[in-house]
Amino acid sequence: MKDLLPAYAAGSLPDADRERVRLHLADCARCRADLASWQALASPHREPPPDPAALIRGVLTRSALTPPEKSPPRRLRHLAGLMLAEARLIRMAVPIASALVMALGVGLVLWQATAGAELVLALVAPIVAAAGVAGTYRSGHDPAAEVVAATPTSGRLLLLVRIALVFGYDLALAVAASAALAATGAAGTASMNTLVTAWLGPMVLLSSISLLIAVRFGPDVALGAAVGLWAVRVLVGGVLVRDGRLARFVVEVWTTNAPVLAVSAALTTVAFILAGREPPGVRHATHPM
Amino acid sequence: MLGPPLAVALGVAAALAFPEPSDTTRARILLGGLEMAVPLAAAVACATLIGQDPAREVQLSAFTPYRITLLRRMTVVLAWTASVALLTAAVLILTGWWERWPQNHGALAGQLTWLAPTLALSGLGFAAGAVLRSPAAAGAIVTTVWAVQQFFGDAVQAHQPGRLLYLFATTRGVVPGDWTANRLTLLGTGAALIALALVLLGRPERLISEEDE
Repeated sequence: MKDLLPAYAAGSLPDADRERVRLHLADCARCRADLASWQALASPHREPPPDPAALIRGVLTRSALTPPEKSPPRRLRHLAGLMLAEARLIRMAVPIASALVMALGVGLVLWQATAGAELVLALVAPIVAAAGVAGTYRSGHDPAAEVVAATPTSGRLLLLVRIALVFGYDLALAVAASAALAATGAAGTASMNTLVTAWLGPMVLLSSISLLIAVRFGPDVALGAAVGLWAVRVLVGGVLVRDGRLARFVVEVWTTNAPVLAVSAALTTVAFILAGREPPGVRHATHPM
Repeated sequence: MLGPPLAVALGVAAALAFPEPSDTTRARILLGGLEMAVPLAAAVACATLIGQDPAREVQLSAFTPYRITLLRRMTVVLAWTASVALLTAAVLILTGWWERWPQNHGALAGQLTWLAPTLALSGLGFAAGAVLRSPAAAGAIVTTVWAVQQFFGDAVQAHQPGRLLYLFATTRGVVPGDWTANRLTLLGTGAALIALALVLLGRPERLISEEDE
């Protein structure tokens, strides 16, 4: 009987069926209630539903005509919030050790002028920054890995913010060390500009290599590789071998020049592209992705 | 694990790349690879043992104390380094390059050329890792000590305590008579630093406390 109620409410039932339904309704309260609902739907006084095409057109037109909210302040606030949040995830041991190592380098140059300030800074600043960058990228071992995986913010942006914090801190340390040495005159005739030029290129190059290897193979391999390349510079370009084509090539690479900076920028770009992908060897427990 | 072989390869490449060297200079570079590069590679590996163990929570709940597990891992690193260094030393001895460096100290005692600095620097890396709980910071400490001894070798060796703790006494030592005492001091220092690290690791809950901050 219930199946006949919509047609009864619309007035489209044949006479025989309509009479049968009318008799049933006299005795059935539940069907009377259902009929009231069907009659409300079939009422000619109801507002017709909106035209979907017109609705979408109206929304799009309104969206196009409404000026956007001023976004730069929000972006800046968002970026500042990200930097603050990422700064909390950096282990305090890393900036403290970096500062101690840099201070030790400056102290030794001031105490013993046997090794030039340029050489000491050119060798200390890059390894401090590269070790910091290697230790900063911890991927799945990050204490906030689950939160990072669930956040709508891009993982690349988070990595960029964290690397900027660590590298920026080491950059500031190296500039402060150069300024201190230039101010005290311990650097001999070297100006502030000369001192910065001595370490900037190697620092950027070794850090970019360290980041790329950390993203691809993990922080431990990155630290080992950075120390290995740095040791090549110390041994082949200075302590053990001073002359020869290989030594000259190593020293040439360990300077600030356009090709070194360009290669560093390219390596960093590749690292950030790779950072958004799964590292090799990852196995998903429940589903292939 | 690639570190020690690459360190040896670096020493050989440096010896081959040197233009018109004397046999003595080339022998010094080859032994220098063993005394300088191999210990650094082992020490960086030991510095990364603490701090990034993905199974740390499981290890801390296991019956075997975590510091014993870490000590076993360090033993594996040092054993592998020793194998590579011994093989390299054997090749140098058989080819005669070992004898061409005047301060080689013989085939047997001469093995302290790489063993003493390896143990001392690795002990430093392990202890720094236990204190700082950060491979990056521990690695920076190790490389800094190594670099300071490279660039300020004369200043470090200007007095007796510095000479006893100098890592590169075989190839850059200024007082050859101090060599044996220097090697024994480095071995003792390495053992003391490893013992210090084991004491610090006696409270393994420190290893996870920072993650919760």
